[in-house]
Amino acid sequence: MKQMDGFRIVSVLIRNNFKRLKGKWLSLPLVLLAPIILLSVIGYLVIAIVEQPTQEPIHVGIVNLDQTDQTHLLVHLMEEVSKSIDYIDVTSYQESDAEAAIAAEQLDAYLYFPRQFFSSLLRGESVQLEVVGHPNKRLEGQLVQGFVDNIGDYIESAQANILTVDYYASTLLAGEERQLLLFEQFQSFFFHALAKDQALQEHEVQISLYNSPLVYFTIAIWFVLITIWLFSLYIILHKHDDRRMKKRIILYGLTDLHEAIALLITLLVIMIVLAISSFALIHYWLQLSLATDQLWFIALLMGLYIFIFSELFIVIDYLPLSQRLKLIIQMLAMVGILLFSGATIPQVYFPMSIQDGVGYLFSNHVFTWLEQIILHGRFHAEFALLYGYSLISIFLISIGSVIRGRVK
Amino acid sequence: MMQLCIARLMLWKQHVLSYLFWLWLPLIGTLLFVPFIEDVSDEFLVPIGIVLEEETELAQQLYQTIAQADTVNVEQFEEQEAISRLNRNQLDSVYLIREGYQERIEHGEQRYLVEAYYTEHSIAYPYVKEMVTSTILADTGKVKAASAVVGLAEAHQQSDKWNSDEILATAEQLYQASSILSTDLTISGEDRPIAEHDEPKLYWLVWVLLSTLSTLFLFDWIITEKSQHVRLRFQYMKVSYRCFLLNSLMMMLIILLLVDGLTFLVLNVYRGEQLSILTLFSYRVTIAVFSFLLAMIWKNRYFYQATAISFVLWLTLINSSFKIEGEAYQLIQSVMPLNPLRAFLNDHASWRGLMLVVIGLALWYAKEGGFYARNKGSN
Repeated sequence: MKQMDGFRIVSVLIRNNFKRLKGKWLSLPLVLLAPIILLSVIGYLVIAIVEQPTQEPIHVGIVNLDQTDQTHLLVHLMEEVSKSIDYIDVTSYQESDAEAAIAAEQLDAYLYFPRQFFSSLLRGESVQLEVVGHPNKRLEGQLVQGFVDNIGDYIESAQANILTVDYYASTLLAGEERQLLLFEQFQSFFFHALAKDQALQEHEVQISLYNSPLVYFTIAIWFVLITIWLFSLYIILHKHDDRRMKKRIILYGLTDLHEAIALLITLLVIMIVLAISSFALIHYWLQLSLATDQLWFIALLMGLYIFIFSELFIVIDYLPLSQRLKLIIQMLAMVGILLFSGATIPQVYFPMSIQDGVGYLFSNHVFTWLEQIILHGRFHAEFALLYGYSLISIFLISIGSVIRGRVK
Repeated sequence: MMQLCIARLMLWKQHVLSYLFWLWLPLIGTLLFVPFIEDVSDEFLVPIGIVLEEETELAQQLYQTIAQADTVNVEQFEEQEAISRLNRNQLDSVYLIREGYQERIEHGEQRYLVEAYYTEHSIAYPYVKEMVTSTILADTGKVKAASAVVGLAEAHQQSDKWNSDEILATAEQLYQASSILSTDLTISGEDRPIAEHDEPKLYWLVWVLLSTLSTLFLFDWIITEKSQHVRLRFQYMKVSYRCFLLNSLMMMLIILLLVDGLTFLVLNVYRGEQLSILTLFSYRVTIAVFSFLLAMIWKNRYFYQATAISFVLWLTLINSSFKIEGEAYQLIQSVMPLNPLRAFLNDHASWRGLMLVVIGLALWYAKEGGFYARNKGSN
């Protein structure tokens, strides 16, 4: 009879949870959509950093005030180099023309070679190249600055070598002949620097089933998204203490354990629906080819992940601390769980000292096996650790709710 | 007025410990956290493998230079071991220095001096590759210079005038002394060049995040008192409830500014991270009034706290790019005009934010007045 009551109470509580969610029909989609927007902003940033803008090339003018053979060569080389780069287009200009071209929006930015540019380089003095940008195109100006910095690296690496040659040549040659030699050396070192990308012979090794990191990134973002959704739902469903209500409820024989079980079941049901539908989208979009067995493994891994995560949060809520502190602990726990799962920072880059220990973290364990199954096509996953954690946390929740019941 | 202050202090006194905790958390937390963050973030390294097939001086030199870079963790392997580790995704990339490396450089060869292996998961590869190639470039450049000098000497029939070790040493010296070619960005029509971003102020960054959180938390009494019907009692008093709240806001602001003053001294003087006092002041007023208004809108204290934490987490996320340098950093800065902390971290006072919250406060005051009048009327 008592058993029966327990079931009834839990089912009433679950129904109640769903009713509360229904009452939040306006904020719920917002809560679920917000992390997607947030993650896409970050994704956009990552792509913006990794890939150079491909639309209109940036038009850059060069104003050469130095007017020596060397800088003429340099300007010519920069024009040549820019032809092989899609996003930048370099043309040389007179000073007055460049300013007019900026005003007429023909140029996005221009660059000065100051007077005495080359001779100061030879004397080993520091030189400043000035980039002038269009007022409405600050971002382009910064990209041009980056491009010039890069050219500057070439020049800088050539400079020390030319100075070396000059140092010894000065005892053997003089005047015209020495200048000629230096000019030759300058050219030769500049080309040497331009060819630096050829120094490496590159081989790409494919270690997963897919030859782009896209699948990895998508799975990682999905994992983070599921975690954030779970956290937000937990916050929404969480019962904030209302003492009068509590008293009334205790009269009906309701305990913390009932509440915990109801919360767990509600979270599991909603999260499984969310996880399956979002994974189906990914599966369709990336055209993954996973076998039924593999899908079952993934489902079980994620189910256990959601289960352990929720239990951990319930246990934190049992701590005798203020609401704010518990919230902060939960937030930190979530950040830690995500940070060390391998979904935010790939595990290769973890400090050596934690490489081994981190495998015992449940999120890391789950994500590692997700990777193994989806990226490496394995038909296997290990669950012992996850079962262990589930049992331990069930035990903790039972003990915790009994203690809390006594204290009341 | 005095009575209002006393009444507020009495209300606060019930939770004095918690208030003290949240007041001092930003400063103490910053001083404890930052060294920890610095330690931990230094330990996140890119693992790369190097295979040395020859033990010549140039090969060793290349290995040493790469090993000294503080963003990578270099280990030396046999070829098989390195490749198998790469396949298990335990290394970001592998660099193979084949037999004959030094000889080929001395012959002036430039192509394919080193073999690089990477995978589709090597996120740090473009960066490490850049570092390795510029190291090779520097090494080959010196050898090239030396051979040019030796060639010159031979052309003048003085072939044993200098030996190449001596020349290499000179080249190395000139490298160390080599001037820095810097670039400046000015915007057409403006005089001052755009300042390159300063060293990110880690102490102030952590402080501002913690302080935003604690300020938001410090104002949650507004929500608690809303449900305690404190307001109803004010109908029988001379002062209005909105005056009382405004008075409380000012008191809280003064307390916070006092704590900020000390923080300013500690971080600016003791830690040497410069920030102007106007920046700090404008941030403080803005965040305090913002928290006040936010707490006015919220009905449920728990959701208010959850919102506060999510907000701070979001701020942390978009501001934690301080590890990224150069171009990418500037790109992030320019696509992130929405970052509310941008002005603070660039050490500007944000008058726009301040204006917004003051307008918000004025609107609230007017609206609250309406509420008051309505209730007076109906009673």
